[in-house]
Amino acid sequence: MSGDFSYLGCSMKAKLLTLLLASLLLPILALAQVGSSVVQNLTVEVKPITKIAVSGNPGALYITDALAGAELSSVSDNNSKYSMVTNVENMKIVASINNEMPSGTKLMVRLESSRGLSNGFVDVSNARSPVEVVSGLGKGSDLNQTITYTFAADASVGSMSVDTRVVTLTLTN
Amino acid sequence: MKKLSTILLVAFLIALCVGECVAQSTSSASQTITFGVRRIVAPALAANFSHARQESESPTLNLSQQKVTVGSDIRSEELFVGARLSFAKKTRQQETINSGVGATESQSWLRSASPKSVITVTE
Repeated sequence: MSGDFSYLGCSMKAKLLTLLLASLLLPILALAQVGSSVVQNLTVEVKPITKIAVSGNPGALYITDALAGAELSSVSDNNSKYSMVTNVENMKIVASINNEMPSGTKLMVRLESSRGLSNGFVDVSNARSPVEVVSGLGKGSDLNQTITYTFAADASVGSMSVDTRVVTLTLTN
Repeated sequence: MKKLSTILLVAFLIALCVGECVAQSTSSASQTITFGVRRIVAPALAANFSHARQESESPTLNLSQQKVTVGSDIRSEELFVGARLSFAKKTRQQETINSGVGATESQSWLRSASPKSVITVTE
């Protein structure tokens, strides 16, 4: 019996020793697992983006004759295009002219739009202040959309030497 | 005084921020439009002449202060008006008649030369 007890006593001692050792080693293990960390604050912002570009100038608009009985002679060009991109909702394109058109003449512009609502032919003859040509543009891009210009002169206008005007298209909210 | 300058500085910074925001949501592109008018046929004459061809009438054409009357048979003729308000009649031999001083002489010559076509120029 005493042998059994001694065995038990020895076993207990061994267990206690093991536990003691383990408890002594734990801080070391814990220390070994401690890493190094740093914290960074990131500031993220997407700014409003609006961009419009044109492919170039339209062809010259020359009225070379009058049709019989016509009240208004006109000529059109649809060779220029525009592209736009925006990440802002409810944008519009407005057009303005640097100088008013001569008396008896008209300049009209129409911008096609697949993402917004085109206002059709808009008279920009006297549009020193911008006039709306496309409205309701949402986020996204609209590429290679046709710009059509129509120049018209009524019967009272005789020959007129070549002249120029600058039309500015603005993508805005 | 210091307080006022601080307020002004803050207001300036706010205005700058607002300005920046507005500027960033606008983009422009410009196009140069070239145009001109060159009349070859006076509109009033073209209209009346066309009418005369269809109806075989003798329309009266008003060109500035001149009055031009075209006769009924004009099938083989072309009538056009130049920049100086003169007109020409093309037949077998082309003849130009100025609508100014020499109009009366030309008128009588035409009447005798071509009985089918009568062009009268009066003031």
